[in-house]
Amino acid sequence: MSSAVVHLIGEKGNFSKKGGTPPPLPREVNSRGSSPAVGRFAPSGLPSLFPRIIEVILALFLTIAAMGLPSEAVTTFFFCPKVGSAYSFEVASSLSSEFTAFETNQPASIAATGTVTVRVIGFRQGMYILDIWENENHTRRFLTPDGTVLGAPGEEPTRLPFFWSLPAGDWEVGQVHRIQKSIPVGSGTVLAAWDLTFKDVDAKTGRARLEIAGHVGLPSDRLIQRSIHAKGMLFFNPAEGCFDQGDWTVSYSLSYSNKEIAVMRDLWNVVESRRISFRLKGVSNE
Amino acid sequence: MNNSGGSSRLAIFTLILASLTMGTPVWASEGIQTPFTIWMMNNEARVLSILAADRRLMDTMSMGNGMLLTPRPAWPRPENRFWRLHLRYFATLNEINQVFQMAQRFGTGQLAKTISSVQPGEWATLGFLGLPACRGRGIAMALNDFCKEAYLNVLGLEKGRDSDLGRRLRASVGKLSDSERRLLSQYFGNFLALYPKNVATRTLLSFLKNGLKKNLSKGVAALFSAKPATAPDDSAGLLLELEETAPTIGSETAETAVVNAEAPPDGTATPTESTASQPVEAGGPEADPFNIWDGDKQPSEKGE
Repeated sequence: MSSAVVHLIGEKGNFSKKGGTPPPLPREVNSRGSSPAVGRFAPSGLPSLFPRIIEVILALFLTIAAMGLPSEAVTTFFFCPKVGSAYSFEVASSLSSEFTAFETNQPASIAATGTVTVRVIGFRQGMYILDIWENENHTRRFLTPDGTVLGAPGEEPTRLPFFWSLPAGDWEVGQVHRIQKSIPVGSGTVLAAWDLTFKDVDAKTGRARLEIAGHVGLPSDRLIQRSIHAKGMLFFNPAEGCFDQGDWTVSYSLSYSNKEIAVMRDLWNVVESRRISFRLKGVSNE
Repeated sequence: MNNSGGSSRLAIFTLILASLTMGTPVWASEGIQTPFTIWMMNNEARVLSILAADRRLMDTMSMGNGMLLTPRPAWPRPENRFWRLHLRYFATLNEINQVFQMAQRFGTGQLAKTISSVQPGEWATLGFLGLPACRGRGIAMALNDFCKEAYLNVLGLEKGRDSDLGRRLRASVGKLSDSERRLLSQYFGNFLALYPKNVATRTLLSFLKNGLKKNLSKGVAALFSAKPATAPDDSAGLLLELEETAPTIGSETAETAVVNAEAPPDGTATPTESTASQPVEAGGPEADPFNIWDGDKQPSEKGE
């Protein structure tokens, strides 16, 4: 039953304008995955009771609606890592690649494992400020509760990964949440998409299982055929406020041919597969 | 009388030497291998460009969670083995072209005959022949040898390397393993299927197929010997053979030409200008290694 609970609105008021105000607790976000909008952007001065009443009515309505729904039917997810905590993830990536010319082929593979430590150093203006370390790789990211990265001062914007985000509202089992982005390539862009499908919720742990599928709209013609597809599984842990496990594979293929007049000949083929998996090892308070 | 005959011989020698020296240099990169290597380099450039862009996209899709960083090992690039192999192909084909051009230019033995008959040392010591203390003949011989060596150096000929062109050719092709030669022949097969009228590449394959089985060394070897070639080359017949076989070399015979390239010599062959120095034929790929998209639009712009 706990999995069916819709996270409701908290109260704290105008914290975004003043750095000293403590950030809201993870549960103090509304169903759109953001902090209480009414209070946050209300003008300073005498607090208006009207928005508070609306919020209470809405909360009661949503609670009643949630109780009437079958378990695991509708849920709202949002990132809400605990400020001041350090999340430790084990991340493994492996690659296998093969280049073929006629019947001559050359395979290659490599694997690496690392530990990623994420320190949640603050929550300001609706964004979690994350300090991320992987060995000597370091970056800092500003993450909104829906998973969007709004800033990454340690990284080149055009080289940022294509991040998943969570749907703003309720998410039904079986519903697909599509995220699209134009990624710059050379002088143009290609359209990439992630499809996150909400599969189910574990009744004991409350973890949600999501199926992910990715696709990049690479240009292809008869001579040069290429594709990038991704497929995998993710687990979102509402208790920790983040994805705590994931495993997906990005597959690539390139078929390169030559053509002159009516003659077409295959020349080279490249097949590549990258598998990435991560697991939350623990959360510590620092 | 003697003087005028010697002068004319000297003039002829000078003319021959000038034409040989000022013509296409022996080590020029342009040659019968050019269309094939340009085609290969263009293909490499396109694939390098595609892979660089696509791997960036894969990087982008490889870490979708904003809370994580990926361990980034040095990803293996299996294609590098092929690029290295292709560099060896280019070096081998360049050397084959050098042998071809050398055989074409010096294989008739005409230069050897001219060098032997001019004897510049004797002309240089002519004025001292009457002096009793001067050992004119000895000096003349030494000068002859010195001049000959200087000429050969100017022409880029080295005795150890070029005295047997057939051996040099076999050694060059022999640096490739069987599987590497098979792959090269498959590349040639593709090329000739795409550009069947490319005479330069067909000549190259014909040279590999037939030239290696012949003795190419007579004319050039004579340059390094003390005496000129005793017998005239059988160049006319061999040229005719190359002329006849070059147009028939096709994708199906490319493999035979390259894979069997180490066959021992069994005759004599000297390509001549009529077949050997065919210009790069229209019908081959564009000779611009930097225009990797052949002036066409990129696939992304072609759409489908």
